[in-house]
Amino acid sequence: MTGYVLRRLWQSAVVLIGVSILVFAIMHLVPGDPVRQALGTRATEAAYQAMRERAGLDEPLLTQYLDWIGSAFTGDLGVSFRTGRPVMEMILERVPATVSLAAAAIVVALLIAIPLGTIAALKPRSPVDWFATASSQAGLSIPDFWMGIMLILLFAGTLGWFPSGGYVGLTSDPVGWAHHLVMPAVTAGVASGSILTRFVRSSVLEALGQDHVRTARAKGMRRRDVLGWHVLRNALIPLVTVGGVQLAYLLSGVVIVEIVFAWPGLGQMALQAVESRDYPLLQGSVLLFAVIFLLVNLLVDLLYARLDPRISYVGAAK
Amino acid sequence: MRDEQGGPVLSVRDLRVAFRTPRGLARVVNGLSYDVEPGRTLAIVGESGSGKSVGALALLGLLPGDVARISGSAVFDGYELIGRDEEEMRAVRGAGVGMVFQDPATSLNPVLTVGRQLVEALRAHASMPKDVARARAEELLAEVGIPDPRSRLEAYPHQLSGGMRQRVMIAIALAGQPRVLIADEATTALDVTVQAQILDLLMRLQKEHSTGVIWITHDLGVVAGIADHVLVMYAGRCVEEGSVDALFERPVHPYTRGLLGATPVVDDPRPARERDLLVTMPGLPPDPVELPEGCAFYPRCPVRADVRCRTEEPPLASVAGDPGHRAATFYTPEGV
Repeated sequence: MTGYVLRRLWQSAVVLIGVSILVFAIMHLVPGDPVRQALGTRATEAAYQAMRERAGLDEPLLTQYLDWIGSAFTGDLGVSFRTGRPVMEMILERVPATVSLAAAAIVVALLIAIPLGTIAALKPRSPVDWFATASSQAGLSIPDFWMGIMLILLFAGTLGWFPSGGYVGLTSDPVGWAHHLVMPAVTAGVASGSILTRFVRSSVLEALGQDHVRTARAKGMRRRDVLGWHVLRNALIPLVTVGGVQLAYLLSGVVIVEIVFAWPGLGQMALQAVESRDYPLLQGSVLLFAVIFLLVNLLVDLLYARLDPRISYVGAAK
Repeated sequence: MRDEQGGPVLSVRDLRVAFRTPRGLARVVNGLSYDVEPGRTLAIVGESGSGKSVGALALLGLLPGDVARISGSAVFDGYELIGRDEEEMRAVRGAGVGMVFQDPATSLNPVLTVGRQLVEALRAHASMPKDVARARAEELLAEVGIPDPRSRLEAYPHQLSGGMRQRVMIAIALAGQPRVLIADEATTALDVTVQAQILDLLMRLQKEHSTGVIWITHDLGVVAGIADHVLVMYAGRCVEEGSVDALFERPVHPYTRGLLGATPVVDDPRPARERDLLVTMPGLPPDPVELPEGCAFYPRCPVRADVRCRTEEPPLASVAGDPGHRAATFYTPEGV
C-alpha cells in the first residue's frame, strides 16, 4: 500500500511538472505587459526596468522557469506583482474560505443527490422519477450567477434571512460563519448535486438489478436493510469517483459563486490575478489547483480500495 | 417443529405469470401445478425461457411487482403465498422457502464478507445477538463442508473458489431452516467435479433436515441422479410429469423424447457412428407474447397431427397404467 502511494505521488510530481511548464508558457503567451499594468501609466522607464529586473523578467525564459519551479519546490511561489506580498501567504489566507465553501457545497450536493437519485431509481418512470430528472435538468441548466442573484434578492433582500455576501472566519464566529455560508453553499451545491443525482439514479438502478440484491431479498431481509447494505453500499462506490471530481472542482474555487457572494476564496483571487496580469499569483494558483486535483484523485483511489475489497493496490506495480 | 404427518409442504395450483412488455403481455407461466413433499425432490426441467425460473421467483414474490402479473395459488404449509404483500412475503423468504441461485459469483455481494452475509440471513428472521449469529454462521459453514470456517467468515466472495461460493450460498439458504429449498440451476455454473460435490452435499442436507427440494435445471443428467419426481416445462406449461423412472424409461410427450434424445449418454450401447450424432431439436420455443393457439409445441413437433394439434390445446392426461405419469399430447408412442 505504501509503495502504491509513493508511486502515485511520484507520478503526480511528473504531471505537476508538465502542468507547470504549460502554465508558465501560457502566462508568457498572453498579450499585455504585467509590469506596465502593475506600475500604471505614469511610471518612469527606470522604475519599469527596476521592477522587470526584480521580477527576473529580463532573464531568458528557461532561466525564469527554472528559477520559479526551483523555489516552488521549497514552498516559495514568488511575490505578487500587484500586492507585493508572497504568493504562498496570499494563497494560504484564502484556503479557509474556499475549503469551507467546498465542504459545505459538497454536503449540500450529496444531500440532494443521494435521496433524490435513490427515490427516482426505486420508482423508475414514476412521477417522483420525473420530478427528479426534471429538477436535476433545471439545476444543471440554471446559471449559477443567476441563481446566486435570485437567492440574494429573495433571502437577503426581501426576507432578510441571510447576509448577501462576505465571509466570516470559523474560529472567530462559528454562527456567523455558518450563516454566511448557507447561500453560497446552496448555489454551488445545486449544480454539483444535479450532476450527482443523475449519477446516483443510474448507479442505484444498476445495483437494484444485481443478482446479489435478489439473494438478499430471498433471505427475507427487511426492505430498508436490503436497500442500505446491498443496494446503496454498492451503488455508492462509483459515486466516490464522480463526487471526488466535483469536490476537486469546488476546491479549486467556484469563481462565479465567489464573485456573486463576495466570497474571498481562491477562485476570486485567481480571477483577479488574471485581470491584473499578476503572473506569480496566477501561476501559483493554477499550480495549487493542479495539486488539489491530483491529491483528490489519489484519495479517491485509496478510498475505492477501502470500499471495494476486490480492488487491491498491493503488487499492482506492473 | 417439523410436520410429521404426510402431504405436501408446498402445493402450487394453476400458477400463471405474465409480464407487461412494450410489445404486449408476455405469458411466461401458463397454469403450472405441482406438489412438493417433505424430503423429496421435484425436478422442473425445461429450456431457457420455458418459465421454470420465473415460476419459482413468483412463489417468493421476487419478480418486479410493477410489471409482473401473478395468479393462481401456492399454499405453503397451509399459507397462501400468492397475493401477499412485501412484509408478509418477507416472513416466508428464507425461513419457509430458501433459494439457491445459479451463479454464486454474482449472487453474493462482492463487497461484504461471507460472515456478514450469513449473519444477515440468520438475523433476518430471529432476533439473535451478533456473537450468537456469528457462532451459528461458523457452524453453517462447517455443515456445508467449508474447511476452516472461522477464518472463512472474514473472506470476501472473490477470495473463494466457485464451489466454495456455492457452498456459502447453500449455507445462506439453509440459515433460516426452510422446509422447502428451491435450487435454481444451482450447479449449472460449476464444473463437473464440483457439481457432483454440491449435489452430494444438497442430498445429504435434504435427508438430514427432510427438506422438500425444487430442483430447476435444463440438465437431465443431474435430474436422473437426484430427483424423485420430474416435471417437464415447455412454454410455461407442464407438458409431461411423472416419477423419474417413468419419465426416463417411458417418455410420452414428443418434447420430452426430444430432450432425452438430445442428452449425450456415456455408456451408450449404440454403434459409435450413430452415438456421435447428438439429436438436436430444430426450432426455438414460442414467443411468450404470441403463444400459438393450440399446442405450444406444435411448430417444432415431429409427430404433429394437422388440425387438432394446431387448434386444440392437449390436456394433461394420465398415461395408461400409471396415474402419476401424465402428459399433454394427443400422440401416443408405440409400446407405451
